[in-house]
Amino acid sequence: MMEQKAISKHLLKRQKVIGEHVEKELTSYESLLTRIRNGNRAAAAELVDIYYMRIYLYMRRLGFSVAVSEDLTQETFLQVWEHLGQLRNSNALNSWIYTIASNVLRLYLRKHKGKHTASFEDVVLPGNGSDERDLVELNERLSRLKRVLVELPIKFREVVVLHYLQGLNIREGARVLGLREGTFKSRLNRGLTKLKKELQ
Amino acid sequence: MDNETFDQLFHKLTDATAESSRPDLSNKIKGQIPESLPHHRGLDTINIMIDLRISRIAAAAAIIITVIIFAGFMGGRETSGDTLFKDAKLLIQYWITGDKAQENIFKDRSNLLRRLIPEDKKNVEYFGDIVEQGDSEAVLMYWKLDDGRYEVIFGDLQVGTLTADELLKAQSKMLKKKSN
Repeated sequence: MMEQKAISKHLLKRQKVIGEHVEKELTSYESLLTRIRNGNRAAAAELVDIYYMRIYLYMRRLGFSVAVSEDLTQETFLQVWEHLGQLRNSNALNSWIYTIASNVLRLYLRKHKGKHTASFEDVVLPGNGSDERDLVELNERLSRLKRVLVELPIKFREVVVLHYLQGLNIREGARVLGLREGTFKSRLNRGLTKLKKELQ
Repeated sequence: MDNETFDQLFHKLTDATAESSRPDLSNKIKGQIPESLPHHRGLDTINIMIDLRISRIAAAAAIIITVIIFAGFMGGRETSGDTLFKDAKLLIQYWITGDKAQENIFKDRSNLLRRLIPEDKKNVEYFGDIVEQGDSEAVLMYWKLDDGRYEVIFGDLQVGTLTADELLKAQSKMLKKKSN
């Protein structure tokens, strides 16, 4: 119980920091979206430049292979162009694109039910002059964390990846997955607890 | 493991997993940007239902049925009035022009249109089985007006008022065209 409370407090702190960062970023997207809506393909290409790596990494961090992640990223953008007319609020751009990505991966998982296996490669951080032994130990811990993460059930994996690795705040993350903020937080708590348990 | 340590580990994992994609991924995606980017088109409800993986026809049918039920039972609108008919006609026109509509879809939809014609317009004559979609000269359906003329809906879903003679000529032309 104490641990749950500590996690919640910790999440609130993170949420504030991420929220401030996201606010600043999104104000600059309004003019980009206006240009895209006016049919400017160069602006659409700019949107690709901003988002394609985020979506690709989102898929990779969820445990999809390089090839599948690339396919899912392409499919996400195809859906973005298809449904662009529905996006009214430029402030929602970030969560809107992630929502599409999330739907695309859900369709993929449904289609490949039972056939999909998580892709896992060991983490290797480059040395930066620090103690070689420390680095090896850190890489081992990160590899273990990654392995445990990609083995979590998808509903916990998604919330942890969205919040911790993709940097979405609680509100955005909840919007992406179509959950209430409370549900998102609760899944995050449970996901973290599972991770901790597995890592001990 | 405390939360701060966990946070730091995730932070490091974020960096460690920030790999590059294949160099041509961005270009591939850019190559798929459509020539004409979609504008806001309205009909959000239909689009939302399509997002829920319901077919466009099923989505639209669900909406029409809902409108009719609400208009009929909640007293919000009069089902026998012209307004509902006009709205339905506009929606059907959107489908037909917005879609690559097949002939059978046209027949289904024109049939639906016929059923939506207000009750007070009795004796509707309907030729949906022989009229081809988009044929602006073919009479899809008509009914008699109080002044003796006829309200006609043509194959392109345009509405016109014809005298009995004009209607007869239009029908003869249509039948002649059909028999050829």
